[in-house]
Amino acid sequence: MTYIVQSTEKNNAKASDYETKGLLYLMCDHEDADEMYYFVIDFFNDVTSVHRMGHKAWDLQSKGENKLSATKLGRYLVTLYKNYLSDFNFSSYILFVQGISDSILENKDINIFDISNIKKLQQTIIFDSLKAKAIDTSYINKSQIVDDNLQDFLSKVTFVISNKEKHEYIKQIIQNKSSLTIDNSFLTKIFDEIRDVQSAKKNIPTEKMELEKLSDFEPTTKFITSDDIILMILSRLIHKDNIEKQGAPICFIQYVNTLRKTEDEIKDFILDCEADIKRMLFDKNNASSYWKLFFEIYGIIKYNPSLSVSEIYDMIGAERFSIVKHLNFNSAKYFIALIKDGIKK
Amino acid sequence: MIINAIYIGNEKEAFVEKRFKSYTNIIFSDDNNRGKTIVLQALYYALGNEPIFPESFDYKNFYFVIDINIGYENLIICRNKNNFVIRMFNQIYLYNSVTEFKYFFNKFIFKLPMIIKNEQFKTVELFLFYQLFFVGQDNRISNNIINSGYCNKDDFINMLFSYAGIQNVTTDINPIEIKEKINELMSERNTLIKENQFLKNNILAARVAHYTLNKDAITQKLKNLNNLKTEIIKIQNDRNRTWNRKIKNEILLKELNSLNNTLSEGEVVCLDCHSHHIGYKNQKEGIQFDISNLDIRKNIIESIKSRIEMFSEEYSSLEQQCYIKQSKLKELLKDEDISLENLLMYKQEINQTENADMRIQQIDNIITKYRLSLKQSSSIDESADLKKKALMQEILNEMSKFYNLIDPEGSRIFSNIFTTKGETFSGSEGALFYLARIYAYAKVLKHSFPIIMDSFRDGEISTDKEDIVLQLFSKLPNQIIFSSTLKAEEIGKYNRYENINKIDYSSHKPHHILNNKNLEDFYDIMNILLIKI
Repeated sequence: MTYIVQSTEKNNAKASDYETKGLLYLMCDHEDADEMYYFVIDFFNDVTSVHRMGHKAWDLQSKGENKLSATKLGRYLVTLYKNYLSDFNFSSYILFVQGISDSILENKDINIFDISNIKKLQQTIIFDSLKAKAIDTSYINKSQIVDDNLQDFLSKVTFVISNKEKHEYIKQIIQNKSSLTIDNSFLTKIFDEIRDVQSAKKNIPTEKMELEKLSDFEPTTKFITSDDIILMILSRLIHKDNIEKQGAPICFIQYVNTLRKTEDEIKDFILDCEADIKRMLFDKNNASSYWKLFFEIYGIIKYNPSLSVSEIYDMIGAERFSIVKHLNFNSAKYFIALIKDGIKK
Repeated sequence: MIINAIYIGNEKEAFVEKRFKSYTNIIFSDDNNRGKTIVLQALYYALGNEPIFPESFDYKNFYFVIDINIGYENLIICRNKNNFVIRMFNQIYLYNSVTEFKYFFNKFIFKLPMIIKNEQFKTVELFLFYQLFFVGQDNRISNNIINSGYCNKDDFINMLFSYAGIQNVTTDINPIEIKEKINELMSERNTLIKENQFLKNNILAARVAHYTLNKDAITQKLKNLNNLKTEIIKIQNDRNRTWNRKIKNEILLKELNSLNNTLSEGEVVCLDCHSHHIGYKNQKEGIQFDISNLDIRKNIIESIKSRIEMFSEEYSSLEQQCYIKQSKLKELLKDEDISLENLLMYKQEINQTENADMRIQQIDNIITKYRLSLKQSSSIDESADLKKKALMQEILNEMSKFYNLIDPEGSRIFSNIFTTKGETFSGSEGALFYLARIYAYAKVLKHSFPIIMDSFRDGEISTDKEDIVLQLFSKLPNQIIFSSTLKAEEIGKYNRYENINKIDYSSHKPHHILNNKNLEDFYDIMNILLIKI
C-alpha cells in the first residue's frame, strides 16, 4: 500500500495565518500536545502533527473563514476524509476554522466539539456535501466512497473554532514559563516568522511522491518540530531581553570573576564578548550552525542545570563551537551564560 | 523610588542600615559624630552624587551598596570610587564612570531632564539633579548650587524647566549680527594665538637659562608636579580607553550592516533524468528560522548607537577634567621662584602671554555662547517664557506658603530660589530656607525621589516649628529621610510621633560607625553582586 501526496495548496495571507494558528493549536491546546513532535506542512494535509516515533499522527485542515455553512463544512472535510481512508494511523481529524454559522450549531458557546453539536438537519447537508466533493475529486478512489465509511468518519471529526489573535498563540507557549514582559507586536512578529517558514516549506515539491510508511515524510524536510519553535522563541526572547537591558548574564560574571582581571579589563572583556554575539546575530548565513549549537547547549542545560558555564563549554567541546563564526572561547561562554540565565527566566 | 537599605564597608569593617521605611524616617542621636552624616551622604553618593563626606572619613576605601525599589523592580547598586556594579532583572551591569552610570540611570531608573550645555542638548549631571531632593550638612550655600563649576545656577533653573516639560529656549536673537560677531572674534583669536606662541617659546628659554631655586622648594614643587602629572596621565588613559570603546562600537556598527545580507546558495538539480524537470533544491539544512529577527537587529543597532553616544559624552567629560588638571599644572609651573631680576626682565612678556591666554579663553566662551543662542533661535517657543515664569512663581509661592505656615509672623516672601550674595541667615532661618525649597520642589514637580536632609533642625528649629515641618513633609507621598542631633533634655521627644520611623544612633561609638558585627550582612550583599573583596 502506498500513499500518494496530492492536493497540496498555496494560499493567500489569511489562509497562511490560519495554517500557522492550526499548527500552534496542535502544539499548545490539543489534549495530545505533549506527544506531538513533528508538524508536517502541506503534505498529508495543511498541518499534520506526528509522534516523535512516527507511528501516530493528528491531521488538521485549516480554513480562515467565518460563518461557515454546512455545505462548505462538508466540502472542506474532503482532505481529512482522504486521510481517513488511507492505511496510516491518524488519531484525530480536525477542521480548524475561524467561525461556523451560529444557526447550524446546537451550542454556540463551545469552541471544540464533534458532529453532535451540529443540528440534525445540517448534519445531513454536511454528509451530502462531503460525499459530492469526494466523488468530484480525482484523488479519492470512487469505490471507497461508502455511506458507512462517511458516517464513521464524520463521527470522528473534531471541529475547532479559533478567533484568537496571533500574539495570543505565542503568549500561550511562553506562558507561566517567563518572568519577562513582552509587548504584543514582538510576539506577533514571532508568529509571522513561524508562518513564513511554514509557507516556505510549502514550496518544496512533493506532488505524487509515494510513501510506504507514515514516517517517510522526514527526508522531504517539509516539517517543523516543536523544538524548532520553542528554541526559536527562546532565542528571540533571550537576545531581546539581553540587548534591551544591556547587562551581562550573572553566570557569565561568575566565570569572569575567576579570570583575575582589573575592573577596566573586565569591562572591555564583556564589551568584546557582546560584540561577538551581535556579529553572530547579524550573520544570516550562519543560521543552521547557530540552531544546532543552540539546541545542544539548551539540551545540556536542561538536563544538567547545575553545571557552570565553563563545564558546559568543556562538555560540548571547542570543535562544536567552531562551527559558528564570530565566536571565540570567551564569547562562546557568554553565549552559554545567556542561554543558561535565559532558561531560568 | 524607595530606599530599602544602605551598606557601607570593606573587607574589614562595615555598617548596614536596613530600617528605612517608605514614609518619614528620622535618624537621630544624642550627640554628634555617630555616623548620621555618613549614612545620609552615602545614599545619594551610591547613586552617583559627588562625595561630600566628613573629612575624617576616607570614602575611597569603601564600597557603598544601596538597595532601592523603583516601582517595577528592586535594584542593588554598588559604588566604589567611580566603579558601579548593579544587579537588576537578574543581570549584572558594570560601569566605570559616573557618566556611564548616568546613562543607566536615564534608561532604567528615571528619564533625566535635558539642558543645553556647550552647544549640545545634554542630560543633566546627577550631582545637579540630586540637589532637587538632597540637602547635606556641610557645604550649604543658599546663593548658588553646590559644586558650581562645570554646572551653574542657570543650569539648575533650566533643569527645573526641563523637569516640568518646558522647552529650554531664549528669545531676542539676531542671527546675522551674531554671525558677524563670531567672525570678528575668530580673527582676533587667531592673531592672539600666533603672538602668544612666539612669546611663550621665548620665555621658556629664559626660564631654563635662569633656573636657580631653593632646594626644598624644588623638591616640593617636583612632588606636586609629579602628582598632577600622574593624575593627568590617568585621566588621559581613561580618555583613550573611552575613545577606543567608542571607535570599537562604531566599527561594529559598520560591520553589522555588512553582515546583514543573506547569501543563500542553492543548486539546480535534475529531479528526473531524461526529462525536462528542473527543480530548486534547498541547502541540505532545509528551510529554517533566521538567526535573529528584524526587531532584535534593530535593538542591537540602537544599543550600539546609544553606547557610542555614551562613550562620546564620557570622552568630553574626561577632556574637561583633563583641561582642569592641566590648568592647575600651568598654575604650578607659572609661579616658579624665578629670581627677581628675571621676573622683572620678563614680567612684561609674562603678563602679555597671560593676558593673551585669558583673552583667548574669554573669546572661546563668548563664541560658544553665541553659537548656542544661534542654535536655540531656530526653535523658539514663545509661550515657553510665560510657562517658565509661571513655574518659578509656583515654586516661590510654595516656598512662601511653607515658610508662613511655620512662622506666621515672619511674613517672608521669596523672590528667587537662590538668595543674593551676602545675604545671611540667622539662627534656624537657613535650615527653614532649605526645607522650604526642597519642599516646594517636591510639591510643584511632584517627583518621586526620596527627600533627604541632613541635620534638618540646624540652628535649632523650635519644637513647635519642627512639628509643623514634619507634618507638612509627612503629607508628601515621597520617602523622607531626615537626621537630627538631640540635646540631653530632648531625648525621647520623637516618641510622640506615631507615623514617623525613628532610627536611633545614640548607642554608636563616636567616630566608629563601621564595625565587624555587620560584616556578615555586608559580605552577603557583596555575594549577591558577585563582587569579591
